[in-house]
Amino acid sequence: MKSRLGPDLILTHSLLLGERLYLFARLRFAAAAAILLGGPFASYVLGVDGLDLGALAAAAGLLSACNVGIFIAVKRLSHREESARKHRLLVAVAHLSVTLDYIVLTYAIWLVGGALSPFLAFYLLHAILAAVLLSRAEAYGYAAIGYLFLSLLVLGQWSGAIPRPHVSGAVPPAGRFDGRLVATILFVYGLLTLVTTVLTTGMVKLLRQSERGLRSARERLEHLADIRRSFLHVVLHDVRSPVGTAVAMLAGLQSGIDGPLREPQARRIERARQRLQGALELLRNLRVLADLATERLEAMMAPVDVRAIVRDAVDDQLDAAEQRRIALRLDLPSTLPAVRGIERLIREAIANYLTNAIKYTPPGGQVVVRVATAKASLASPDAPTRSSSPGSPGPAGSPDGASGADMADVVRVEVIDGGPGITREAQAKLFQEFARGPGAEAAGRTRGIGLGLSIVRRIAEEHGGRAGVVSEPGQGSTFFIEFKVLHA
Amino acid sequence: MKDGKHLILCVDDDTDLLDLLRMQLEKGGYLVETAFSGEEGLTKFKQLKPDLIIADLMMEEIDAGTNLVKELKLAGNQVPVLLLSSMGDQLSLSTSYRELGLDAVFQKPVNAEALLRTIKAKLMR
Repeated sequence: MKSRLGPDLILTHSLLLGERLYLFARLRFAAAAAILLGGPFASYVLGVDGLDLGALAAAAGLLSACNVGIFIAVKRLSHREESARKHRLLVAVAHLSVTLDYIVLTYAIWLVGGALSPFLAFYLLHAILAAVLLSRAEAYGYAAIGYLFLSLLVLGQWSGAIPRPHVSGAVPPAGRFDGRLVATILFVYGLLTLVTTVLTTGMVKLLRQSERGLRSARERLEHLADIRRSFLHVVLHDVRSPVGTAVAMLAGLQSGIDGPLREPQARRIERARQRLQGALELLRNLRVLADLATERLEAMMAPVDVRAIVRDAVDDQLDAAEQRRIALRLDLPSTLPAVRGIERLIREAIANYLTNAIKYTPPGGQVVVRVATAKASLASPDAPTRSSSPGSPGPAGSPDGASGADMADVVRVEVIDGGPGITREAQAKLFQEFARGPGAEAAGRTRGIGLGLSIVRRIAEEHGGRAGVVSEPGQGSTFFIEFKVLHA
Repeated sequence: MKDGKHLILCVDDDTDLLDLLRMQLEKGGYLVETAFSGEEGLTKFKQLKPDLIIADLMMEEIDAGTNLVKELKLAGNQVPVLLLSSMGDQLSLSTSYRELGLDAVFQKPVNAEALLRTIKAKLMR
């Protein structure tokens, strides 16, 4: 599968080149500082004599000055998208910086002793850097260039074309520059350069391949997830739409649109409507599950107004509550801190609680929806949090919602029903997928898989919060969901 | 208005639902015109100048309803627009109906009395 960023690029290479160059530009400043400070250190601490500190400082200055331009250029291009777009420019910068490094390195090594200096090993370091930064072919090329610089230095000094610096302490005392020594240096460093370059480029190649594989796999998965989501949406709509219309037509018949119904007709139509309504709820839950499966939920979140969402969710249920002669009461604070989330999912969670509360509360009863701010509790997940809202001081006894809201971690929505209550054993399984409460059959619910509460739990988790229930048999239930407060 | 009655334009590709809406709205004392697609809805809006528009969210294509609402806005629509939606229809989780300028969203299956109450309230403004 071709990358969206370009067909011919080695993806990880082009994506990361800008970042790597930026890193090395910063390291180059450190290297220049090391050259600047290393001279005095070698002279006064290590006791090396004859170092040309001025020339070393000039080398450090040249390196820094050139690096400023490199640093400014790559800083702008270090972002991956920019890096891919300006790949050629970045490669040119990489070539320039490696060449600069070799020139300054050779000069600095010459200053500290030249061909016999232990600092010759730094050529290997630069071969490694080139292997990491550039493509494999370029890495071999630059390793060869580095070896060429080294060879020129060694052979130049041996032949006398390049004067030997009069440094003592960092190099063996002046003596015969034996041809066998030259041959050995060239052989050892040549071999080391080759082996280092082969090993490093090999490892880097493997890393890039695995990075590329991971990236392709991830793009493929995202693509499949998009297809699956679109397919699911279309399929669900194509089933839900006619079912919804059928429910509406039955409701129309019940409202007498085609004249009064006989008792058996009314009963059958009501049963049919309930069965279809149950199927609609199942489809709705499947749709929400599909939404929750998206990986980009976090990116879709935005500040939401929980008060408005709760009000809308309650308004949606007014008719259903009225039909069962259930009083629906809303207890909202005047202000609430902002919450970051997805409005539709939050409304879905609250709607789920409300639907259950209305179904399980006997006719003539009451369902209360209360919203408050709270501090998240570190106690067990089922323990009520310390609330701070008007009319419901929590265990901490905070007197009013306004001051509590300043310290609040969560916005807590509670739906309190007058149902039969739930035992501890049943509560433990309630929010699991495909679980149903023990009162489901008694409440006359049609058979069906239990997804609703597990969906509420997942919605809460996606919003950094939690969902749960506080209940005792015979005393109704308080279903709650908490959303993390968006702190500025 | 026409003959003293408010005219409501209903846009939905579901003929059964349109039929039901027509019966419910005419029973409520309104004149009803229907359209079966977003495109037809836009054309009829320009021709008939309805007092209120009811549109389904998903019609011949995904998000047809929201596209229609946007087109209506561009065409200078000032009348209330109510959207019919199956909960979770919209593909974009981050869509806010308030931002689209909708006056109300009704979840299917629509409760006729609630719809008529809302229509009456919107037309009184």
